Amino acid sequence: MMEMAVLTTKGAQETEAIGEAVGSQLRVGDLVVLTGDLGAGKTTFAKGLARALGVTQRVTSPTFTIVQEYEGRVPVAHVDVYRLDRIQELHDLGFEELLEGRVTVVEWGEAIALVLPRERIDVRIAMDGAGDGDDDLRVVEIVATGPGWDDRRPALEAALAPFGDA
Amino acid sequence: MVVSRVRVLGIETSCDETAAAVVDDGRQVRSSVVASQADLHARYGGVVPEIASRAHVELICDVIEQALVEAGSSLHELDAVAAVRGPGLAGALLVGVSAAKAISLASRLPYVAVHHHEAHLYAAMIEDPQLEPPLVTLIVSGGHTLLIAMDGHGRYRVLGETVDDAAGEAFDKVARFLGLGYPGGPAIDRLAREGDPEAIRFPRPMRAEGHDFSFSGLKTAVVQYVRKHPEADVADVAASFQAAVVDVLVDKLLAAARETGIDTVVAGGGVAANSVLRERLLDLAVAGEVRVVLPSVALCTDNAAMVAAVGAYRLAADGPTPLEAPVVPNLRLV
Repeated sequence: MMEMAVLTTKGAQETEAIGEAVGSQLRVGDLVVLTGDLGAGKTTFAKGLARALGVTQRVTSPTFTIVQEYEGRVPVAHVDVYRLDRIQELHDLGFEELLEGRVTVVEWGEAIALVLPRERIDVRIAMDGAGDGDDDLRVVEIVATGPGWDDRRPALEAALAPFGDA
Repeated sequence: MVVSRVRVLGIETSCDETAAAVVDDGRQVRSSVVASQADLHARYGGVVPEIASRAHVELICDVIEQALVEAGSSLHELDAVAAVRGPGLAGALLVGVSAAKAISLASRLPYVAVHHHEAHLYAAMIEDPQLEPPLVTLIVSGGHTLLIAMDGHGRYRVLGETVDDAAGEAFDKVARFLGLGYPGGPAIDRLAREGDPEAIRFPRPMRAEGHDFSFSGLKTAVVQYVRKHPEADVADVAASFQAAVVDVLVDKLLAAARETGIDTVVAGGGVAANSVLRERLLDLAVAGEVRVVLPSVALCTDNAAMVAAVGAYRLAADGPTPLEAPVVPNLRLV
C-alpha cells in the first residue's frame, strides 16, 4: 500500500532525471509534494518533472511569485508554500481550483500536508547529513499514497527502476 | 524622446513596498513616498502575499495623499495616473492598480498601466535626466534577475535571465540559513563588511557562459560549506557569498555591454543597492570600461517615482490604458 522507493542520486542531473521519470507517470489532477532542506534540489526535481509533461518554458524558483504556471502537454503549476502563514492563504491562492486542471507540484508542502489531498506523491529529498561524504549526494524517497495510486503504482515503480532499488 | 509638461502620479504595490510619487515631465521628481512593509514580513523570512495585500490596502490612501501633499499638487493638477500592473504578486498589484483606476474615474484622468522592469529602467533616467538609450540594464531583485538591452524607448531585448533563483532570492535564502533575518540583502551587506570576501572560494555559476544566471547552486554550496564547517566565521561566509554573486553580476553586465556594443550600463532593483556591487560598478566607470549610471539606493529599490516616469513615456507613446486591463502577475517585458 505504501511501498517507498528510496533512491540515491549523485548530482543535480540525476535528481532532475528522477523528476522526469515521476513526471512521465503523471496526468491532470495529480499532486506531487516536495520536501527537503534549502539546496536539496526541490526545484531541480520539478524541472525534470515539468519537462516530462511537455513544458518547454524554463522552470525557475517559485519562491517570489508563490505560484508559477507552465503550459505543457499537461499544464503544470509549481507552488512554493513555505512562507504561507495560514492554511487560509492556501484557499486564497485558489489552491483547490489549481489542482483540478493540471499537475501540481508543491515545494515545502510538509507544513500543509494535513490539508492536502491524500491522493498524492510525496517526494523527500535529503542532503548528505553527516557532511563527510560527497556534497552532491542526495537520498530521494518517493511514496505514492491514496487508493488512486494502487493501479498506477507498478508503472511508477517501473519508471523508477533504472535509478536503483525501487 | 521629449515628454513635456506632463505631471504624473505613479503608484507601485507589486511586492512589499507601498509607494506613490509625483513626477513632472518624466524626470523631475516632485515627491516620492515609500512605506516599507519589511518589518511585517521579517519574521517569515520573506514576503507573505496575504500580509502584503492587507498592508497595501491599509497604507495606500495615506501614501498617495502624502505624495500629493509633498508635491504641492492637487489631483486636478495631474495629467495622468500610472500604476504597475505586473510582474508581481497578484493581490498586491491589485491594490495599486485599483487605486489608480479609481482616481482615474473620479478625477477624469488618463490611466497608464506600466511594467515593473521598465520602471526600474527609467529610474536611471531620473538619476541622469540627459540619459538616452541605447543602454544595457541589469535588474536584480528578490524576484528578478535580468539583463536587458534598451535600444530605444519601448524597444527592449531580454539578453539573459536567471535559470533558477533570482539574485535577491539567493541573498534572502542564504541570510535566512545563516540566521541573519529578512530582508537578506542589507543583512549580508552589513555583516560582510566585517568578513573576508576571499576566505571561502564559492562557485561563480555560469560566470563565462552566455547571458543567463544561476544562483541555486551557489546557495547550495553555502549550505554545504556551513554544514561541513560549523565553526566558520559567519561574516566570512557572508562576505565570500556576496563576492561570488557580485563577480557574476559585474562580469555578465560587462560582457553584455561588450557584445552589444552598447557603452552605457545601468543597474536597478533592490540588489543594485548592495554596496560592493555599487563599488565594483563605479570601478568599471573609473577604469573607463563603460559609462555607468547607478541610480541612488532610493531609486534602485522599489519606488513610485520610476513608475510615474515611465508612465509619462507610455502615455506619450501609447496613450491611456483601458480601465478593463487586468493585473498580470507574470507579465513579460517583451
